[in-house]
Amino acid sequence: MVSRTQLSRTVPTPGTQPSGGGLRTASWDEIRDLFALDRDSIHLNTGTVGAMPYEVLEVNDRVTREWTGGLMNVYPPAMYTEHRANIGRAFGVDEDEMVICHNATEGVARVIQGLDLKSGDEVVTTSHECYSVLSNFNLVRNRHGLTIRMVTPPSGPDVRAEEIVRLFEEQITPRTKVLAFAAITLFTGTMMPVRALCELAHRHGLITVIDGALIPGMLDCDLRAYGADFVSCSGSKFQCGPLGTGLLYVRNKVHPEHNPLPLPTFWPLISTWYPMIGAPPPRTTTSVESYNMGDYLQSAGSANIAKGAALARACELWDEIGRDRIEARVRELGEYARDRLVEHFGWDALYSPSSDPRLRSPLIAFNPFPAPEDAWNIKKFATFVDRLEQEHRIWIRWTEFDVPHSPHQHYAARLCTHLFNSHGEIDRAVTTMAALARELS
Amino acid sequence: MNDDTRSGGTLRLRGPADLEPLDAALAQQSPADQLRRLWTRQLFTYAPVENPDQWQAVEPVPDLAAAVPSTYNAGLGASHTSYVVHLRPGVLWDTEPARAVTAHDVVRGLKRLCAPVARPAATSHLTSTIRGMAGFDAAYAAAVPDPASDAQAFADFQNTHDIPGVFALDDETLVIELVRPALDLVDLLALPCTAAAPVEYDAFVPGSGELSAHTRSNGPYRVAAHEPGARLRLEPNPVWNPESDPVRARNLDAVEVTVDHSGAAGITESILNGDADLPWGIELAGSHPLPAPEPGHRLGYSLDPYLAFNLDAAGDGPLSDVRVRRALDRAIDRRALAEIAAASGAGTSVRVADAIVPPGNDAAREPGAGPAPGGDPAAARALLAEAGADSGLELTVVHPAGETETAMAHSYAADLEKAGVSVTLRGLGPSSLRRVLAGSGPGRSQGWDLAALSWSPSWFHENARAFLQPLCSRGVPGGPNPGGYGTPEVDELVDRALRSVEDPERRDAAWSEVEELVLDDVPFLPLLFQTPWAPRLRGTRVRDAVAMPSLGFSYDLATLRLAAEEESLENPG
Repeated sequence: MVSRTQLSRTVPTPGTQPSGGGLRTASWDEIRDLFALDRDSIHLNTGTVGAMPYEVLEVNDRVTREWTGGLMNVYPPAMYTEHRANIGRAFGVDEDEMVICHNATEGVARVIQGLDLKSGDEVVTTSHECYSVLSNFNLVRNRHGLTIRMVTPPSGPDVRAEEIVRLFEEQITPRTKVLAFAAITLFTGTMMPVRALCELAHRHGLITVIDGALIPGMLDCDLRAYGADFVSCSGSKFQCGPLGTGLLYVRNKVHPEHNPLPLPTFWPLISTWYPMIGAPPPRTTTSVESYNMGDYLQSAGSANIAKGAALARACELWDEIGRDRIEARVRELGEYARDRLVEHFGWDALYSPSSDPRLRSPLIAFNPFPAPEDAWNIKKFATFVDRLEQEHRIWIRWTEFDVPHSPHQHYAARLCTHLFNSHGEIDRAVTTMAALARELS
Repeated sequence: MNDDTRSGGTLRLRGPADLEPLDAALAQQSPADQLRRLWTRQLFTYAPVENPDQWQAVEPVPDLAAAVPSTYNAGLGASHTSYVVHLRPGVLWDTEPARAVTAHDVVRGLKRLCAPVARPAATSHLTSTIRGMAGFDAAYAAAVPDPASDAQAFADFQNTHDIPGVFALDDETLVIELVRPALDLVDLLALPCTAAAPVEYDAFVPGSGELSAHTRSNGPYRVAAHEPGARLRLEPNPVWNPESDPVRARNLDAVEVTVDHSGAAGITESILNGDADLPWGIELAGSHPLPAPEPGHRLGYSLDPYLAFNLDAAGDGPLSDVRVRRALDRAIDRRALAEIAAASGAGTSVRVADAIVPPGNDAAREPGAGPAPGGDPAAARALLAEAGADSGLELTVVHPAGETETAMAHSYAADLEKAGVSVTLRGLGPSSLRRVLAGSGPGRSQGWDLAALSWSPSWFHENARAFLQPLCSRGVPGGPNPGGYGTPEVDELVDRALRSVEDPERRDAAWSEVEELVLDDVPFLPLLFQTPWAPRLRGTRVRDAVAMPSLGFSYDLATLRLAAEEESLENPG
């Protein structure tokens, strides 16, 4: 936990009330009370937006007030030095590798635009990436003449991790420079075999860019151990920080046990402190950085200090509760939801890989309608989601994605579980969904 | 609106163009597109924008559709092969009782394009783009092979077969699935031929006179009187609701079109003396200095005219020999044709054609990269001798019977004569020319060896295929490739270009190869590139007239107004 003294180095007028030392053993029902959520609402859409704990909201409000109209120097705290160190520690990385940014989209855009790509280079990615990834790669393609080679990941309950790795490998050519993929796909909730894909990239000397929007707050993960070069994350989804916050991991030193490749050439776009004449020193080849890449990326003029502080507080709360404990809870609820969905809709209704435990995430995409053609009827899914929200106060979302060998764009209902959900909520939600699907079928 | 304008009045058009067919399913760059805009609607269309260099002048906007599908509005998947289109509410057919235009009407409109008696040139764009439409098209042709089939045969096929990639989810929403991403799909679905069709059309053969007599409207006007080949009168459609139509207005009591073959001078006089308001189907500029200046816009030129060889009828005759076709290419003096065009009063900017794709369009080559403009009868004669065709070569050229087209025909005929070729010219009216060309095909000569045609960009961005696909692939009878040119190599290159939308370099290289290959094969002779520079002639009482690139720079009749009589002579619009 960050102490008041530590926090004050970043935010000079602290006032945060630590939440006490009991969260590690608090019941999930008690933890639910930390969140600004109505008791009669069932929030199963954390993959789109999380719910802020009251305390995070309070930090945001308080720091906003403290800085409004003040004449303090806004630039040092905008570097978020302490926050980055603390947050980085939770994810197994150092302050020079961690950036607090506006969201996963901004993070991944700065990565993609900052890669040293040239005409003729190739990127392998998937058609199931977030649009912000695909649009940024298309921008670079238009600008520099890249080739983007696209994998459409298989979907369905029986997909195996080896199949996904093989599909990526088939797209790699001597011109491939980058492997880019989501750690967990937002459309089908596939937990991609991250380490295996990074090792594939290492074997071919490729840069790895991971859209990790859904990771923080869900998984107790070591970003460095993934072996990726870049991981861009959301601060407002499972991490439950304020909207407009994100985290960006940029590999800035070489730990051969995780990633033996040299650091890639990378241009830290949008930077105040990148040298104004000359260049930074050569990138390190050891486990000690030659310069602080995180500072280059973090220094971007003034910042929303309150949001940064609030995100830091959300991360502290997670550390207090225990990230290992949260992951176990989220996954257990996810498996419970998966079982209930299979019970009501059948195994084949799942788009999310389910039999291979390596690919399971607590985001579960499924088709609630028995008629095959409803799988490509956007109106059915939009109505389904709208009515759950309006008539039952159950929040999920629908997603759209390609399915290999199908000429149609498929749609799915997607729910995700988080630490504030309960088994009772899942029971009520799935039962309600089953009844509504019958009515709409 | 100007102070002197009013709502009402009868707009009078006069000129030589055909009125028929009224059926949008046959629409193919004809003057009638200007009229059809008043009673037909597509998913998308173009807004009238005064300055053609404004992007909005060539960017499709929703028409029947509530919005242009995008990833942002969940209408377009990430792979760009699935479009979801929601229809705007409140658009009605003028049926009794009035009935909403549905997604099923849009699907019907697309199916009707494949009717063997329809098949406008755009069909090939769509069949190569929409999933399963090529198979539907082929099956339709096989099931209803006889153009004289009764209406039931057409309706039966359409109502028992589907285009796999086009389906209505319900009355308000349809899905269009593509075989590959196509950045021009929305433009294709703004083409006049893609108009929605009511179920009542099932009772008639597409394009027939019977259908013309039972035309239904979902636009601001509807057909009130129609004398085939002579006159068409449009009057307000009582169920049209301006709130359901974001691009059209209705400022007139009626639109009256009179077919008049009195020639450019006669039509001009009619307009100048107030007997008519606008020319119909003849390009007349309000002013036309010589030499023609550069156009005042940056949009693509048209290929206008070109001469297509009737390769289907060539058999093993001289025209089957590419050396002969090259010789004829060398003979024609394009500069002389350019002078005729510049002096014609059409108000166009004119360039000698040295390629297939005109300047300003995607895939256009750098000027001067193409072959010499010709006009060398001695060289042509030598080439004909090399090919063993230096004596007795007789050719029949069919061409539009307009004054300018005829003058040009005499010019290139004289050039060919100088090279030792005997030429017979047949000037035909639009319907006759269309009939002759549509009747062509393998083994059917229809009595022509060369046909003078023109082809314009049907849309203005991402439009490389607007020329190279219909002109260079074996398409539809009566289309811009009536001579039946087509080779597997070219087809493969066209396909490669269409497949390479995500790789602009590869796409551009493929289109470039298509053009090179076709120019080398000489299936037609590009003669001139033209594009309007001057506003079209209009009568003194015409106000708020906006030339629309999508209508060949004709005025948008849906938004123009008429001045009050007493103001008209003093304040020309």
